[in-house]
Amino acid sequence: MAEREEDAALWGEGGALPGDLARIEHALARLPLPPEPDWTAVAPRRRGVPVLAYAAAAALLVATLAGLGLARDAWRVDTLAGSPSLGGLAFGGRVALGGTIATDRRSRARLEVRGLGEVELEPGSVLRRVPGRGRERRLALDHGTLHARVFAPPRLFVVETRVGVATDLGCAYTLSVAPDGEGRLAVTSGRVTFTHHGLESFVPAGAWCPLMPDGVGVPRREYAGDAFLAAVAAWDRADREADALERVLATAEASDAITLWHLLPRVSGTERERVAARIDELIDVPADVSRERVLELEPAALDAWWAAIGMGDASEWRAGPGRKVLPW
Amino acid sequence: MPVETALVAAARRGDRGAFGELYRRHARLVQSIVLARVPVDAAADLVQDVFVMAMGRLGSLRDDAAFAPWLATIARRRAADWRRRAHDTVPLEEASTEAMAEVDPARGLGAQAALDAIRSLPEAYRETLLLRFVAGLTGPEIATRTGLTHGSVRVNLHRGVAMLRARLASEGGPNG
Repeated sequence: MAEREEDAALWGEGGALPGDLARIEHALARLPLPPEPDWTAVAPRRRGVPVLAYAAAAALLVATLAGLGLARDAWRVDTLAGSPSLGGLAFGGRVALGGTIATDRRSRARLEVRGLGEVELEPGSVLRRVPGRGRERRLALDHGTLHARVFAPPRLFVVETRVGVATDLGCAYTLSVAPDGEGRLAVTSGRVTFTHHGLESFVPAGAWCPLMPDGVGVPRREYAGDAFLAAVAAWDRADREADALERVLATAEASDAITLWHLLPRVSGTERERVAARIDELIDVPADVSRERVLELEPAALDAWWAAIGMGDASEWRAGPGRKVLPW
Repeated sequence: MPVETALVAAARRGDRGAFGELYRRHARLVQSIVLARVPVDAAADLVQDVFVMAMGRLGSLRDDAAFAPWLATIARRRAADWRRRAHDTVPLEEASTEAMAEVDPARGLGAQAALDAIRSLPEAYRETLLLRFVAGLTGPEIATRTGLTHGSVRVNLHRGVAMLRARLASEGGPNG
């Protein structure tokens, strides 16, 4: 086929495409289209404020915040569903330090945590940007559920709740907090440290811990045995029965040593002795670390048992910018 | 009033049926733009996403006759957003579905192979060729949707086809 005829066919001026291009066109015609949504059921993404008024207000706020140097650090918020609302120091679809994001029961939002990752906020949630320490990026989840995906060095991304503080160590996790303070922290990948009144819980991927108004439960594996999970849940309760610990120890398997390790600083006296003994039965604890040092909660001894569980160097769970090793 | 502008006006007034017709008219346009930039398995969600975004932003469209170029802009931004979040680490090549890998015995080329070859080209040629072969747009229609001059579209088609042929020939593809 002459070049001019081919160009005319490609341009759409008439004539058939040459054979090879016709075959390509035919092949690509078989590319499936996604199924058409039911448009009557779709909630369009709208801005909640008329554009002109919003633009005027945003311009004024930007001018003000620019003087304060906050505009540069405002994080972008994307609407995933419904109409999330921004409050406080928020403008133009971004939240600065002091700003808030709220989702109603039909809204979802995604917050870009500049340089660190992103957070998705489920319906019925309130999230605030609060000051962090040094290079730390810190949020406060008043209530609701967020999913965090972080690809930053450890301990730069922190989420406060009324119960305690979740510190990212390079991971993805889901944090839920009800208005009464009950909730759950579940880690999908990487690991998170949750701190409550100086007590740290190291939560690896595949594990979760409950949050209660008066504290945080010990981490347990997502797929631990039913009997063990029931025993740990019973132990979590403030009004636990006298034999609650025995049932936890009796139903624990080797892979539950991570849970038992977290029990060590949460019990005392003979209970701590029984927990340590059970860990010793389940895994190969290091021979050069005496039981007495573990019972005294000596950090180096606890770290050695943590490594023996297979959770790596405990210093990687604690160390980070501006962090001290917390006493047990 | 041309049919398309009437549809856009009706969709703006909340007529979901009219919006559905706009979807059916322009889904391939959006698919072409998205496929030029993201993996196939992400493209399906993004196509729907673009239209949902467009539905919510119809109020900002100043000229109903410019619906298609406006939609194309949303698609490009959405795809760029997706790539930025994926940190450009996700390759365009990915496992194909069975249907896409299927080769027409009479014509000797599967959809995935054709798509892979086009997506290996520079972006300017990639989108133009996809708009031509997937969305079935003519040269003038591509110019309108992309904002390119007619001359630029002609060059992209001509050079893009030349590179595509060379790519397929090196892989043992169909000859003209």
